[in-house]
Amino acid sequence: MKKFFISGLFLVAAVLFAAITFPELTGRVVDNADLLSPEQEQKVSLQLEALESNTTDQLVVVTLKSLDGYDIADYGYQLGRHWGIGQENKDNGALLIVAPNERKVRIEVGYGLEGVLTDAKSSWIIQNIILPAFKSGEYDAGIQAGAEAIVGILMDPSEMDEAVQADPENIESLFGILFPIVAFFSIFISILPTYKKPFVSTAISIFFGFVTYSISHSVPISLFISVVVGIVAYFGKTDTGRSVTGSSSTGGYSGSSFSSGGFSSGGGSFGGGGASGSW
Amino acid sequence: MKLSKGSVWILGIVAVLIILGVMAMSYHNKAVSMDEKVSASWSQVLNQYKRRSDLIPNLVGTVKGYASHEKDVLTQVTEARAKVGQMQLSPQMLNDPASFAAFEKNQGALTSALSRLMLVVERYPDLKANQNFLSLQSQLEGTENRISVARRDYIEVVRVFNTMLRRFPAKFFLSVTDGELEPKPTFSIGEAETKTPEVAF
Repeated sequence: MKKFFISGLFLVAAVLFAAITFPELTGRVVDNADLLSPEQEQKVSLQLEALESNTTDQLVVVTLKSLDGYDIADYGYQLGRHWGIGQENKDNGALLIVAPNERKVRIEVGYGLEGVLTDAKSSWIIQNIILPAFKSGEYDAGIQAGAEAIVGILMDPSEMDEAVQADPENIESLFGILFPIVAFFSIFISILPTYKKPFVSTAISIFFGFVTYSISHSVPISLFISVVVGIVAYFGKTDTGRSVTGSSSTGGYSGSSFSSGGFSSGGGSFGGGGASGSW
Repeated sequence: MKLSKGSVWILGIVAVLIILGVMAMSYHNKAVSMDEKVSASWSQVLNQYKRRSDLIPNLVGTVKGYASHEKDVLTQVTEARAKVGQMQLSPQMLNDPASFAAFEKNQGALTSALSRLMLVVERYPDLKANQNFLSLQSQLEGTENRISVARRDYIEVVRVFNTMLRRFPAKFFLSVTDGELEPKPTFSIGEAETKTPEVAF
């Protein structure tokens, strides 16, 4: 039963997080299409690092083997949100995305930088700095010059009055409310000498049904858990009963904050600002 | 330790009541914060549409300078914008399906008028080389993109909200604490968006 419960949780997690498969955030330069030499990568990374230490703005350069059939603008903002580029309450992240196979390039701008790195400026950089180099096949030069131009705009002190937008508030999770109840019930059950009471086992069974439902939102799983717990509670010995309650409170998420090579994304969000180009 | 049968019953009933109370509270709170989230995403949608409206006078002015005899298209854009401008925009629109539908229709008309305009300008190389026009064009593209992101975010938030309203046991608990909550209206992809406007050259 414990296994079933846990696999139910995994199932729910899998459904919640299924979306486009994004590349892994391995650093400030994610060169999946292999357009830059290691030295060039290093050089660009250093510039981006300097940018963050001066302004806290995060710029990530990413080259992709494929857009998986998505429009680059569509892909871009979702990638930015997925990685969480930019500081959490400033949303001051930006991406320079290059998809050489689709011949598309995009500057994706987070909410907080839209006032500084405007659509018009992004478009100007793409048309006048990046695309001329790309058209002659010099991807490395185009990327380096493009990243430098973006950094130049973001570091310009006259552009510092950036409009900071607050994040929409998080939805409070049910977990915070439910775990105290589980704990309360564990204590309640543990003071009872035996479960061979129809009412008590029914109450326990209904309770576990509700808890499972609130977590999994699946009626069949909840009914199953409810029935099994009811049977265990009615016929089982105190020991088995205890192990059932014990196992229910071990679930839970651990937040994953990504960090690699001294770079961790801050949790910023994106709303579709920026500009695209193709060659 | 041995409890009497009566106290076990009382303990059980109290426990169930507490659980029901806590669950009702948690569903109510969830509904409240979801409702706020829907309003916030809706404001974001309105924001981006407003941004587009604000761009238009400048854009029309610039295009006029080069393509003054494209009166039809320019008038269509101006009129569509005026129609959008006359609408009362507020979060309360979400509770009024008629005004929500009118909003959708007017914005859709503006979207298609604008895309016709942007197709027409392809015929004017001088205009396409104008820096001011290029900047406006990129802003319009960016704004259209923001609109589609804001709409998609709104659709997703509303989907979650409406699903919650219809599910058991949330439906049961919410009918006790909040009465009958109306599902929020959502966007359907209008014909104007599925069809690319055609312009005869």
